[in-house]
Amino acid sequence: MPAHIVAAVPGKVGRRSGSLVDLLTEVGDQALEAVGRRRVDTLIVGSMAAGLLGGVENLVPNLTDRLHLESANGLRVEAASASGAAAFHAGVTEILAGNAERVLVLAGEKMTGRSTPQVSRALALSLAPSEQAVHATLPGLAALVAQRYLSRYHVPSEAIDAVTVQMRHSAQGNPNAQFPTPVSADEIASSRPIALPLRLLHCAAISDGAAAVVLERGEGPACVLGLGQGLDALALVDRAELTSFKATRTAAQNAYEHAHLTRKEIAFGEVHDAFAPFALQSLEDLGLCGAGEAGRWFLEGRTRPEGRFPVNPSGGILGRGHPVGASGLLQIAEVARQLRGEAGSLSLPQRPSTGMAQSIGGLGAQVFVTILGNPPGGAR
Amino acid sequence: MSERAGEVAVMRCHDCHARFLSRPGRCPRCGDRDVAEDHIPARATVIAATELTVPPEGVPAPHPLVLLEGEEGVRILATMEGPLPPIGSVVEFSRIGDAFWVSGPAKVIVATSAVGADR
Repeated sequence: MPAHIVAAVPGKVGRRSGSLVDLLTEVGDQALEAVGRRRVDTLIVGSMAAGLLGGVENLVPNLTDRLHLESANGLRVEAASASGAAAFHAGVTEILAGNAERVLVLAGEKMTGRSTPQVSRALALSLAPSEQAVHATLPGLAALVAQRYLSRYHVPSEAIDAVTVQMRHSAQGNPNAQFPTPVSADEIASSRPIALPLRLLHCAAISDGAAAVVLERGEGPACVLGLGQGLDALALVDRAELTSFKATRTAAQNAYEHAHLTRKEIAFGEVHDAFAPFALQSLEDLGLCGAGEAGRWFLEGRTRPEGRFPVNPSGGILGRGHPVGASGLLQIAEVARQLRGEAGSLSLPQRPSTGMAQSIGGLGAQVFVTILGNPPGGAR
Repeated sequence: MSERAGEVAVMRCHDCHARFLSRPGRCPRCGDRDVAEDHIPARATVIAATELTVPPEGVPAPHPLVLLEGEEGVRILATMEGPLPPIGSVVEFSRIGDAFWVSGPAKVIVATSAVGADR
């Protein structure tokens, strides 16, 4: 019997007062209310740097305590910046394995309590030892990957700017977004360099936030149709290719096979745009367009909510913010809300019957792809 | 691992012949355990370069990061002092502890080796 999402709560992202446990409790409470406080068998919590940035460990008992989840089992899951997606995959597994009838998945990150260099150092712990030895950072390595990608496929820098323009435009309709205001291509192209070609407005912000999802055995408009995971060498220099993330390709193939669906049958997606060029590469690695073509898709508007394949109608990471361990679950929550008709001002012009979420851990050493949608029989 | 002047120690996989920087574990390409020490010239082409304006805590800004491609397609991530070298230029590099450093433009090369991966 399949699993499906019965409640999806994307929390408010930004500079939030309150601890990591407060943020997780806030969305957890809302999710539990939405299912009438019925018994939860398992709690899965995702967070990347709960200790180093959030100042707390031992998350499961912290939360079963605050949420009054008597007799629930629990696990903490970590997969760098894909922790939220990994937590969801673990939650689904609990249902499919017959361990639970109802699972509460939470994911969160508290980052604004530390300085930017401290956050940068914490995030760099995801990188290979050889990369840390030369003081590399995620934006720095993303910049090198971007240079190779732009050069190999002759992609104009306007294509990267177009990603941020669209994300910020979409975020205006998202009451939980950290950046719900539009920016122009000129503002983006003249924003502060972070690691060229990446500028400030091409890069994810530092954010606090959390999300909650309740999974149950059964069927509904947001069934879990397919899950996929992919891995690649940890160090960038050890990988066969620099301009494509093999981990995304593997995860996507696994998810499509699991779901018995092709890429053409997916109506829209939330992709991991922590750096604007990653959105382009992700569309290609998910098989939605050919190598080097994603820039044209963004420039021609095919990725807008009214376009052929809506990308990140919630505003994505660039519009919504990036509480790193939560982002993967925020994406899944947004996809579920579109499928369940709960997306409000973010609703796509036509209610979709399938959707996908792709979450990248670190610099693409591990990627999770999730396909949700109406049950295979079609009936709801 | 010994390093002669002008050379950098690497590992070579007996199975797939990939050359890669010394690291724990098996060949990163094919996973074979049969790897042996080898050397490549400490000279490579700059294929990407950037300066971090927000380096990790304690590291002065701006902090250069250079991606190099050397003989047999071995890739190296290095740092350096001074302005970034142009993309496509050939530089000399060395290993200091666990880190690779670009030392400067390569001296004139007398002979070039033909084989190189195009990625």
